[in-house]
Amino acid sequence: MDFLIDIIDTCVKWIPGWIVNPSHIRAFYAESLFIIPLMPLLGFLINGFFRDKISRGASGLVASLAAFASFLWAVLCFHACRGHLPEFDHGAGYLHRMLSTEPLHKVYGTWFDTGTFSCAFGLYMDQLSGVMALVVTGVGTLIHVYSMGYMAHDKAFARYFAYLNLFLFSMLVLILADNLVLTFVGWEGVGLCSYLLIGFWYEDGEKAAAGMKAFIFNRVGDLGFLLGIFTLVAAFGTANYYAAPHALGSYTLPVVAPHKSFVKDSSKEEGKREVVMMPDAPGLIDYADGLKLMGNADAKVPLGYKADGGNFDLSKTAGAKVFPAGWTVGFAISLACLLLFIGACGKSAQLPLYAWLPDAMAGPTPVSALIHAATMVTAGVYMLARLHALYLFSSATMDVVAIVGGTTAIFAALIGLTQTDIKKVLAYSTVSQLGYMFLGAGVGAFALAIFHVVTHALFKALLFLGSGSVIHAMSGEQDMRKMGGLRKKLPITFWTMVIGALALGGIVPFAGYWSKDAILANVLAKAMETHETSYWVLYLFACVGAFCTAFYTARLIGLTFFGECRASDEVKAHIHESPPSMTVPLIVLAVLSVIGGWWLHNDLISFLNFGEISQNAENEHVEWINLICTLAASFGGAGLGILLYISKVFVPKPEESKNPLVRLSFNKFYIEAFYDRGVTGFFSIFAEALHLFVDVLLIDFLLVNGVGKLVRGLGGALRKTQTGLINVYATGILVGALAILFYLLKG
Amino acid sequence: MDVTGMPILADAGLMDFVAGLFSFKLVSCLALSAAIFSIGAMGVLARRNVLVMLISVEVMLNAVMLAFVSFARAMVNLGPPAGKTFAAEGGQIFALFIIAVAAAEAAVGLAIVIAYFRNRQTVDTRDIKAMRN
Repeated sequence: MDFLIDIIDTCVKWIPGWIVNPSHIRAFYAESLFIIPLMPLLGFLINGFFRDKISRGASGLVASLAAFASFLWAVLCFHACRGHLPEFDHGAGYLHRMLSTEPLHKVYGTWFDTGTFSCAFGLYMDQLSGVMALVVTGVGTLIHVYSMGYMAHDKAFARYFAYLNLFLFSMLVLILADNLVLTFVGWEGVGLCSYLLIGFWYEDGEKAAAGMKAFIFNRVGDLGFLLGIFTLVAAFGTANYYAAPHALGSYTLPVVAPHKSFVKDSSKEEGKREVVMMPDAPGLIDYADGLKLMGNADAKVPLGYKADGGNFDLSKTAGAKVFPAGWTVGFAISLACLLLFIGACGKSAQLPLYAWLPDAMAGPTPVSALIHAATMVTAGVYMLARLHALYLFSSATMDVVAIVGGTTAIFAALIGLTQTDIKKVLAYSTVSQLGYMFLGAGVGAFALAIFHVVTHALFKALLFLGSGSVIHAMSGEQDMRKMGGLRKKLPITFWTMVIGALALGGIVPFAGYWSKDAILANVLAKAMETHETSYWVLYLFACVGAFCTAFYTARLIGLTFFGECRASDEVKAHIHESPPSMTVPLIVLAVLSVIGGWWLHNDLISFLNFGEISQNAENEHVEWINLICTLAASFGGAGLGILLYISKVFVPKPEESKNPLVRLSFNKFYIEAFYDRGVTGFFSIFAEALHLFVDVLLIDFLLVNGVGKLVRGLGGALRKTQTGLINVYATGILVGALAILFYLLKG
Repeated sequence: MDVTGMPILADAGLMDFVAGLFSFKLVSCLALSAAIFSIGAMGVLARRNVLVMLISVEVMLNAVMLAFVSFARAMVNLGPPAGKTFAAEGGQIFALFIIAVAAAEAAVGLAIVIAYFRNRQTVDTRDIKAMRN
């Protein structure tokens, strides 16, 4: 109760000033960070426990209000996080002032403590997690509202909203957690919700199977994630990102004190010891910063990494017991980052673990928009950005990230070219855009990767919601070849989706252009600096991917909205514009997709300042060359798409195509066939062998039936001794008594 | 003094012989008890008539009772073993208990036998084997 009274006291005391300058009550906001995830949790509990009693309207309202309250509180906390500036600088722009932020950090209590390793329930909001929380709760709220319209005819209305709120809760835990273990809890939570919502219509076996597929693919990644956490804990003895704030709630910088692990012995050179100052109980990022300081701080390292603090020998630390002799911190970090990246691949649908995301479209469309486009699948990018200080130590891992990201970007874009299901096109586009995010992170532009997360969340949620509106109007039809000519009948959906398509295609003033163009510029800069062929190839991939993106987006719009309506008469009769609860979120997202990129591009990148590594495209050459390339790719792709599908309306029949390239793309490069036949086949044979040997032979034959038969046989033999003659029994009693007597008297 | 606690008479005449006949000898009592017990046990084991078996059980109980009172009598003379205390009348009391138990057992046993006989018209154990196998 004291705690509550404190909060109320603080509220009352500071309300006059809280909007003006919330930094005064920073402690209060740090204290109350938990409200952000708590709201959706409450919504989940209400909808979950009372799902049979609550009315449909109330159910949707509770869930949407929970999401909106969470969003509001995230805005307030984000506001508090921006820090106090003595003079209000009108020229610098709103978000620029956030450069001087201090994060909100609150440790609520110990989760478990095993002597050498302890883990706390702590929430942490800095620029990065703040932006992510705003995206998740903001887009989440819109999608909740949209769902009230979209799911209006579904019988499991409350269950749907319960899952949706549980997802928001898990995602916020993932984002706001102050340590990797708690992040992992959220990570698993969103995986669970994803599974539940993909298989939401579980009566349909295919949809239930798609849920399981997503879950299993994620398991593979999660194993990597878990091993990565173990590696980091073994090397550093902590899973926290940052040192805990010293006095709980008061926002002072951690006390800086020398830490024994980071005494660098350079006595041979200068006869003195350099000491890197570290806070008490440092977190992973503190260690990474310390290691960076230990490295040659003066050397100008172009893209921020290759700091040589990573040469620190692990044999002097507690990690010596775990790691092989001769391992350095750099090796351990590389291993951990690689393992964590496997987790990111699973969650964010990168090669080779991408195959679940297209199947995840079996879920309700708002779910695809929220979980499988805007928020959950970006968790991998968020994790990379969160741990960017560690990733920067491992140039090899960064290369892997860039290569996987770039390859996925073009690979998924090529598949997207020939898909005919409207949601599948968007799904492959999501995989492709996630690839761009990883490509950006891989070349060190973490801020741009997060910027792309934000813009992508806006326009991809818009596109998915728009496609949901189309599917709603078409009575559940998802095949674009049976649509067409919808622009007259669904004007709001049409115009908002066109805006989304322009943003996705990277056309100039729309959101997608700003982030994708900047990522490509960084790739080009990296290629020019390193002169490595692989980066030139990646840049080429990214440009071709951008071309394909613009093309398939134009194709999607053309097939859906232009030409003659190819639906059956029965479906045609039902076509109607969606209710306001669906169109309002579309309009909001469309407005954001128009202005979002332009509005945020300078502020957000400098605001998400990850040290010296955010923007490297200072070279004018790079910018101009890149601008020409990306604009050529975007406009070229869009132009070709318009030519083929809007002015002519060519209805594709990819399954009948003789063109080997079309066949390759339509059949997803036969990768899924390989998974189905090769991997699944292998495991089926393996499972069959195990079934025959273990189940049939060992368990059924030997253990279950064997024991049964043994007991029956013994019983049958012993049964003969039961003669039923009382004299025989009496003899037995006598003999037994005599035996006992003999035993006792024998002494 | 021998184990019975009686003085050994150096010159035993007729009177002494008669006195010896009536004097208490634990070994003889126990031998008698064992003999009766064995007879009873044999009766239980060998006879097929439940009634006779019940009688044999009574015989066995009586044998046990005899052993109890004999020990009690001997203990009066011998005194308790070193470091132990006991009631001198313990054996007799136990005998009374056994009488009570035997009475109860006879009542219950006979009731069962009679009930069985009413149903099956037999008290031969060779016919009473419904629980066989």
